Amino acid sequence: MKIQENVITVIKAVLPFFIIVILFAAVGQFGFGKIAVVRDQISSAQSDQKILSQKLDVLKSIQSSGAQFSNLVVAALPDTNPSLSVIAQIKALAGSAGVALSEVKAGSPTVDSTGLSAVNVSFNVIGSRVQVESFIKAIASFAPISVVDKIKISESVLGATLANVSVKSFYAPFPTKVPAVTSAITDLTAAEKQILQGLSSLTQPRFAMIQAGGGGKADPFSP
Amino acid sequence: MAVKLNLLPPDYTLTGPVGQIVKFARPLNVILLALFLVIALGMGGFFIFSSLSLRSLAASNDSLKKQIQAQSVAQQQIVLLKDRLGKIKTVQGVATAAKNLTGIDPILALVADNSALSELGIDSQKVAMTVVFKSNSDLTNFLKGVSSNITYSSVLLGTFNYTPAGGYQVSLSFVKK
Repeated sequence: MKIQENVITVIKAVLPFFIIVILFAAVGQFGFGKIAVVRDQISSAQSDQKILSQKLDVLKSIQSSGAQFSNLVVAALPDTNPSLSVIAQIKALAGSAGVALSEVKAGSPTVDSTGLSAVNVSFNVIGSRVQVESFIKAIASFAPISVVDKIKISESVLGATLANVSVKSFYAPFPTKVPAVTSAITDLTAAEKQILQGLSSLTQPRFAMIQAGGGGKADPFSP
Repeated sequence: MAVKLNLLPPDYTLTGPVGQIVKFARPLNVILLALFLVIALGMGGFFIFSSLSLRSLAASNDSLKKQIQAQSVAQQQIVLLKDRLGKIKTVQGVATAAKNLTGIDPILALVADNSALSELGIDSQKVAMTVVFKSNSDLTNFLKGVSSNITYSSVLLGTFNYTPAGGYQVSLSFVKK
């Protein structure tokens, strides 16, 4: 069958139009799709870059004082039962306040209503009323942070004041996970800096390091 | 006047609406093709530019990540600081009996020297005290002082005992405002 020449002429004129339309559609769909993916990746990378730059700035700013601040917060809220430190601090405080201390006892660890682990340390303290009061008020001035839970005071005719005091000290395990590199980190807020300032004025626990002796016997049971 | 010649055979001659469409389609195809080429080249160029930007950003981010990883100690410190400070803030919000001890000071100052503070119980919520007064005037002065104190919204009298040998034994509970 012979196709008429004028039909061929029409097809020759119209076919390129349809081919171009198809090309437009194909290139548009493929090209815009690819470009959208790359733009998304760029915006995500820009967001990451902003977070990383800010994080690096925060880390650089904390670098100089980080160790000092860490020691302060760990002394204030340790990761293990702080009863020994608390007892040592109470004894030191009693010595400087001029009161007599007795019946110092540490209770079993409990989980406080705050969700933190807590330990109660109770003791009797004897002195004049002024001395006992100033001693009890000074409990808030040492690290680990301790809260006076209960006080029972009785006075004898001779003027001596006996107080049975129960203090609660807190502890919590350290965080075990460092967030991902791309996760944001914020600098210390004004409120956090204020807490740090308050912690720096606390009396820090004094520990003595016992050095292992170098001249011990290889066999401790030999004569 | 120019003479219009048509030397094409009659089969090639297109007249009517079809002829109009063919006449219109040819320049339209050229324009569309040019437009397509411009758009395709533009998109290609934009894609290449975006890819290069992405590569540059990725390299910059990799460098930043390496710098951050080099600061791992500082990173651990800030995580520890944030964790501890949050928990310390919680602890600082815990009610303490020491605050009530400070609050009861003006009342304790009212206890005369020859009277005895038999018992004073303080916790974070309440204050309760038992005082033994030797004389009626000591008791009166104490109660006058208590009634003029504005720290406590109410003072509850628990017990009131009198013995000629011991004097007046008064138990009070103080409720804060």
